[in-house]
Amino acid sequence: MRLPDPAEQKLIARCKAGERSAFDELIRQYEKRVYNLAYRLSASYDDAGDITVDTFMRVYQAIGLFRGDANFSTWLFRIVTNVYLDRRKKTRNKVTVSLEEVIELEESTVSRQVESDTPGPEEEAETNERNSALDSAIMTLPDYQRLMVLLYHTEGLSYEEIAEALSLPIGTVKSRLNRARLLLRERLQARRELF
Amino acid sequence: MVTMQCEKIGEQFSAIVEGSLDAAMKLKVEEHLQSCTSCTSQLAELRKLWSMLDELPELSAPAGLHGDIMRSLDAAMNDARPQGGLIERLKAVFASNPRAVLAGAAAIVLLAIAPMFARNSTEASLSILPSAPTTSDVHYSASAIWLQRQTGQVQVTILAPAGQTGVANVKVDLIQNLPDSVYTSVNSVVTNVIPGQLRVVRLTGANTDDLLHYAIMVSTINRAGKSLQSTTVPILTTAVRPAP
Repeated sequence: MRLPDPAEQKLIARCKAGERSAFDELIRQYEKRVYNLAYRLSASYDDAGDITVDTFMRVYQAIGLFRGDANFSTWLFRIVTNVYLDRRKKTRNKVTVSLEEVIELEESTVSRQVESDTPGPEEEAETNERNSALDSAIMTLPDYQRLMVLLYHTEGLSYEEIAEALSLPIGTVKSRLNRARLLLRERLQARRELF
Repeated sequence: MVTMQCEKIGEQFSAIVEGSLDAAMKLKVEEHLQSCTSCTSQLAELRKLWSMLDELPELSAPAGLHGDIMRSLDAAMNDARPQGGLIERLKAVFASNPRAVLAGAAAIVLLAIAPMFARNSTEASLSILPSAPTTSDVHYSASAIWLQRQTGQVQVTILAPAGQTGVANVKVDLIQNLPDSVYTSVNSVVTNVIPGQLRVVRLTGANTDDLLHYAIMVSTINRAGKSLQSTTVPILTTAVRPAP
């Protein structure tokens, strides 16, 4: 488990004191990561934006009760998860729309949005196609598996932090993540030429 | 051909990639891999997938996102005073000098109520919640929380000081702080507060073994029941003392 960053602790203390500029700084530090997680959970750019805004509103409401015994990012990602799941409960019948958006994204949008070191054009195109296929495969995973894959691999949380964020035993996190990776490998078999 | 052994090895794939297997299991896995091309190739694919997942690029956030968040934040900050500032101030008061609170109106309320409830509680603890300002022009200067372990009942006393004008409609919520997360309202009561008078409300539903994870939210509401201003303050354990 990572130790809380002292600079971040100071920033959070300023947020607790109601300093707008501290919230501004905290939001700048995390908005991109929250947006990324929200997008890869919801498979929708619009929803990702809404989830990000709602997440920081909940952070604002609850920051006074953040005890600091967990890392802020662990606490934050738990809130992202809750916001996403709450929205999902309300819009369960909209799943098809999200999936259509994913298919559309495979064609072009993702490659334009990705930040990369821009190697050669061919290599870049191949990498983008591979990442796009991987993103799409992640989005087909069940919610709980997708969440774990994202928290571990793209957000860099440890098993302990995921267990804390999702209130699950660490053994469950490890076994579910293993199953998720195997399932992902299976789902990518059809695009084997890319890997 | 996939065998029972293959399935068991498959359960260990992530641990193999991470190198977190114990020596005995590692030996077993290595022996199996030497004779099983299917597991060997699956494992190679998993390693590749693992590194691709770790290198998945970040998407750029939309240009207007930060502005959207800050606009919502500004609206929320205008609606209510931040809870954190109050919490920190109260913690500082209790940590430095618990008796300092006795000088405040909160203590007056508390002392008036405490003996009445002490008689009925077997293992009572007392927390106080002073000054819960809810709007810029109305200050509910005293609120006390009495928790009876027997019944899980929380009593909240609100005082709008004499001098304030008009009767305020107030909603009191018993809020549970789910582990490190968001609020959920366990129970709530709507009442009105007359300046210069005490208003006492009782709420049940608290898990008395988990006092730290509860808070009281006091909100002013309009006639339609819409919350106008609110403040949420956790129960302060530094103020807990045994029943008299």
